[in-house]
Amino acid sequence: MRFVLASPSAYKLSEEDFDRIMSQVPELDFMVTEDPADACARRM
Amino acid sequence: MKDFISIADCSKEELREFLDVAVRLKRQYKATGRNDPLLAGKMLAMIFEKPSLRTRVSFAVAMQHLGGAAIMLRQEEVGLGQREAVKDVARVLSGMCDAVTIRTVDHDKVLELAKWSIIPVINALTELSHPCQAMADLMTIEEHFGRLEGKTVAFIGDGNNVARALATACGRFG
Repeated sequence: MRFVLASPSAYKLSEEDFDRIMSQVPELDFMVTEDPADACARRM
Repeated sequence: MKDFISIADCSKEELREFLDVAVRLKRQYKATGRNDPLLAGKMLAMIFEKPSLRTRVSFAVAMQHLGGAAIMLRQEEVGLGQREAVKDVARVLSGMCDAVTIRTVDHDKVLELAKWSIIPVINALTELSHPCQAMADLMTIEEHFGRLEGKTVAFIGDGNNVARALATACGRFG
């Protein structure tokens, strides 16, 4: 699955959280953006 | 697996079984107005240190539908980790209940409760994770869009406990 997280810069996921998630599920296709429209356009 | 505290603790097969059972029970209830009493005589303790509407009601209603019961315990009543040591609460609940669900800020408190509990502990939200919400989200996605594999989930909002749990769950389903 692909997971696209769109958050305002002040509320985005920390690098520590991102790294922890990727260490737990390295197969995850994980993308981060600040633009909700961009997030919705990133279909696999 | 005794407890359900983090998505990362679970295999894809375990998460798949959660979804399949949940869908089956939901369909059964919608079709017949009742569920098989799979939890007849079972008691769920619900410790909520933070406000809750959907999670609390869903746990209580699910227990009722499955023939069991739930008892609500607020922080001012339990004093988990303050008036009562976490270890003592775990022992008491393990003696009188069959499972416990807990909503609290401190994720380590949930881990400690699970450490001392003989009964299963379910995370109903911590600052770190909200695994039940993630599973409910995946169930809804699958009900509307079919099998999860290969799907894209766009999460628009804070990079918070829900986002972390859902991202991890998506990773598990590959």
